[in-house]
Amino acid sequence: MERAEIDGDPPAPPTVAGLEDLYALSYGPMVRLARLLVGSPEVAADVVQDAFVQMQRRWSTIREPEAYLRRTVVNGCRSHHRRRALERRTALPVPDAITLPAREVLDAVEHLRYRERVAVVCRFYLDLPDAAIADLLGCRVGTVASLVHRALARLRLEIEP
Amino acid sequence: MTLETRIRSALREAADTTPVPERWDAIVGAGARRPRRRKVLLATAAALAVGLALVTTLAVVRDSRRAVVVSVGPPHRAPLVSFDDGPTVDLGALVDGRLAFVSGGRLYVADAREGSARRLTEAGEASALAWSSDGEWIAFRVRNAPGYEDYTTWIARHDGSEARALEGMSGTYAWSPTGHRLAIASYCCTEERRGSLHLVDPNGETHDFGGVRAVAIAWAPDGSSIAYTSLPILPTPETSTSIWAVDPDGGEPERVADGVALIGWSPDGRSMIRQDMSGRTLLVDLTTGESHAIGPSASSALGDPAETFAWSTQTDRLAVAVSASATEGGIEAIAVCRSDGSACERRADGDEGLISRPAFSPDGEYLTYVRTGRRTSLRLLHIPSGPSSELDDMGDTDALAPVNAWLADGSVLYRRGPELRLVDPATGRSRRLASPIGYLPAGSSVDQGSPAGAPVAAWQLTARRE
Repeated sequence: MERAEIDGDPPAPPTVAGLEDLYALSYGPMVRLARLLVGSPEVAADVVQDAFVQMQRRWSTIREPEAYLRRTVVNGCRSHHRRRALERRTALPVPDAITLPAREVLDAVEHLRYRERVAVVCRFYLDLPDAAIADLLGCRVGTVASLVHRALARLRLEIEP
Repeated sequence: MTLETRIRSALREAADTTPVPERWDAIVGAGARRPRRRKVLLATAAALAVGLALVTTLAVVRDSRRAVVVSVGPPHRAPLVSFDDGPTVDLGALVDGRLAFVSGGRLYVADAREGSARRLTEAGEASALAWSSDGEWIAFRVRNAPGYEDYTTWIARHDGSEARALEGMSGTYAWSPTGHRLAIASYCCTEERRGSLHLVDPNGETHDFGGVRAVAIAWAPDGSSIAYTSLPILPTPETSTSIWAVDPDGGEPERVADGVALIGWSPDGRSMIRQDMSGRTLLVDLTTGESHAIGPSASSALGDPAETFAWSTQTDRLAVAVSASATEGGIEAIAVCRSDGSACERRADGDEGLISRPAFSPDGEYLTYVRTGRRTSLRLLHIPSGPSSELDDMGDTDALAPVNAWLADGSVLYRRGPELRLVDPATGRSRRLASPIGYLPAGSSVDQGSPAGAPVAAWQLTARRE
């Protein structure tokens, strides 16, 4: 499709200074989000780092930086998850600083399938509505509800036998 | 403490104990390392691409009777392919030569025959576009306020006329396969309305089925029934999710089966695929109510129907992506079953990775599917005789949906990188059909409906008669 044929002005691209602001505001929260999705703080930091590098390269074309960043981080975590599945690795490290009850929950979350884990983390950590989670996962809103439903059922079986 | 509270608390604790290193300099450095010459080359390449696109567009418009637009959207969308002089493979954002897309938040409809685009909305941020099956109407949603996940569902004619908001009906929606009635599973507004099922006739009345807790909907292939998944507010082992069906012309909803996710109908409307609580894929015979498990365990990707299962045209076979083993969720095989879900055979191809977009040949004897592992390939399986073979390497598919669609002449349409190609499965001979006239990576301002800037490629080409 020819962009020139489209009438109406495109939105102004964000400024480079905006990326720095976004970094200052979002780097920490995104590392924490990624850590919940991949388990390892080190891998989480790498995933978020890669996401910002990717954003920096495409900055002039990005219309919704926050949403783009969140999606890029979730996709980066998925790539890590897939690589991990292919490499047949299993356990992810859990920091010692976490209390035993939290560790039990995190272990159970770790055993969820990746899409279920994203749905659970986005709903219960980020407090995102289902429509936003559906956008992140690239699925329908109803699928999100099903993923959360099934994840909760599994967590209940594992945590509250 | 409830389970939900425990989960929130644990996730918060894990997040709060996560060390956050400082790495801003590395990001600035990564940008600074980009040589200026590369920018110049990119700008030159972009200018050449625009020029080529203009020439291609003019050529297509001149031969407008045979013009075709093929577009591929976000990964969860089906490939959208339509030929003027052949069968329609699938319909989505593209209907009858018209392509709906969003640019700068505004909804546009492009006409391949006229080579122009028309803006349908003046304000708001449109997304989630869906054409009615007759191409007369389009449904979309508009974000109510920037930054908020709060939407209103709209419908409009293809020319933008008769546009109206469907107040109180935000949610997931699907057009009937016949005519143009829109079913909406609403998650809108209030607890009382959440989960209501609405049936909207743009030319007539709206029927509401309240209190059904619908979260996913699927029309029967002949439009005679709407199936939906009913989900309790707080799931417990005692409150199982169930699948219901209702006559769109009236009547009380009827329970079809217990399960978690409604996935889809068979083409003949006699069966339905669903998932149970353990993630198994089951086939439900709607005439007897019996279920058959398919494969050893379901693919983790289930929930996106076009990506994970396919029925043969004759409705005598079913293909589903399943886990290759109980312990390795990321490694999948393809299971081919009879239409009643019996006699499933798992066909491993020896490779590791995920399987998506299975598609049967028109005669039902062959199956193609996409295998994504360390690389992405298009594979061909001769169902009666044996192992699959690789048809082609699909190149870098990034975040774009792979294309895998059989055409009536027995050739297979697929995408290798940004190129759209045709391969003859009998000879393995592949030829390029078209390079994209527009290719917009993730984060671009144009998309087909995903508000987060999912990538889109669009090709314009001339249909060929063999």
